[in-house]
Amino acid sequence: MSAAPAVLRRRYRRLLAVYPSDWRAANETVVLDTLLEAAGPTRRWPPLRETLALLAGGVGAWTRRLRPDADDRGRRWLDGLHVGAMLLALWSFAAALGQLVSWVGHGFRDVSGNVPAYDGSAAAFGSMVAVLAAVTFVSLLRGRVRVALVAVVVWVLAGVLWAIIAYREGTAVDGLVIGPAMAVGLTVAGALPLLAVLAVLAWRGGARSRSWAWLLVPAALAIAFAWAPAALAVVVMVSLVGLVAALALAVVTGEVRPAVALAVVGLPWILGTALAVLVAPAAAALAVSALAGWGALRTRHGPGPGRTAGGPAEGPAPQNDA
Amino acid sequence: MREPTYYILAALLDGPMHGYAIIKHAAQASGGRVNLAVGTLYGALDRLAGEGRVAVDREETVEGRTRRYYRLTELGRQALLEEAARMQHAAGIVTRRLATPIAGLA
Repeated sequence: MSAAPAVLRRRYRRLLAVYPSDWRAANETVVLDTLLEAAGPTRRWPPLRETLALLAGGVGAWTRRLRPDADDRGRRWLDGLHVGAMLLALWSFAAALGQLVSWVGHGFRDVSGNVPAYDGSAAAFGSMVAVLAAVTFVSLLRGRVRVALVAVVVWVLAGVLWAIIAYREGTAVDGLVIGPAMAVGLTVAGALPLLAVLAVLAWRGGARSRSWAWLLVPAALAIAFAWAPAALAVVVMVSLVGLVAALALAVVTGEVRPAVALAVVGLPWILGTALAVLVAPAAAALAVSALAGWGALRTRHGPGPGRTAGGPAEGPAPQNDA
Repeated sequence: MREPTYYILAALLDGPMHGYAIIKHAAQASGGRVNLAVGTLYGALDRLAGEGRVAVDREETVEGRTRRYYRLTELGRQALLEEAARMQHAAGIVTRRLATPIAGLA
């Protein structure tokens, strides 16, 4: 008599594997017992209707888990900004390092084409940018936003100084003659997205320490910059496709972190290709500042105590035995 | 409010109820039309608990089966009453109209 329910129970339990594990820990016993009660004593296979409902319920449980509650939304936005800022710092680090590597590799010739007189002083500036970007990245990785902010400010000041020195007489870059004022303007505007994001993170206390595994990304990016322009194109394409996917994820589930992070990194790029070289940095600075500002607004009531993500809905803790 | 949700909340008007009892109650009250699958029921209960319309009352083990009892919260009762009033109003538009003979027809 007990054979059929035992078999059915096993089959139902396999179906429940589609639910998140914490959902199962809280609900599996109750749901299995209800399923068996509804099935009657002789049934051995789950009916199609119940099977489909359980599969749909599993998808629903995952979606609800991703969907943040009100307290969590601003926190996730800040999380996305944090990762975006880390990626921005990485990008600069990889660019500076890649240039240096290619410069060394090609025997002190200007192979970048974007930097005037790529000589010793340019290399010194490039090295400094690489170091400051690395400091920024590692500080962010460890959740030290203020240290990162100081590093970026030093980095911007150095960039301004370099712009004044290197572009003193007007230098042709990509067919455009750039004088010191314009070079300073472009340098500052180029740094504004990162500054805006860091300012909001410092203000809202929105950064936690992250895994050292992130260090694998700069290695890959630097290699892409120095030796494989095609790989760089792939990185950009994957980021753009990822941004579209992340937007869809944000709309469907409310999980905004990937979309915010990719937008922080991608907006300067996208606007850079869509707009003229003189307008793009300012537009990107505005757009990313808006993203950061929205994050600040969403955490207006301060970071609350409820920082855990997802989890099943409220209700007393389940007591599985009695 | 979707029909299964309505019948789940309506079942809980009678007091705290466990999952299978809700399914039977909804089927009976709807004349067999609303036949909730267990997966659908618990998905709805999870959602309703998240919205604060139902809450877990207690768990009991009866004849080796664990049963979780859900109860209607004040928020859930209010939502249910509003939905009932809305449907009553919508039905009234038709029933009142049918009760009055249309002039010039007949």
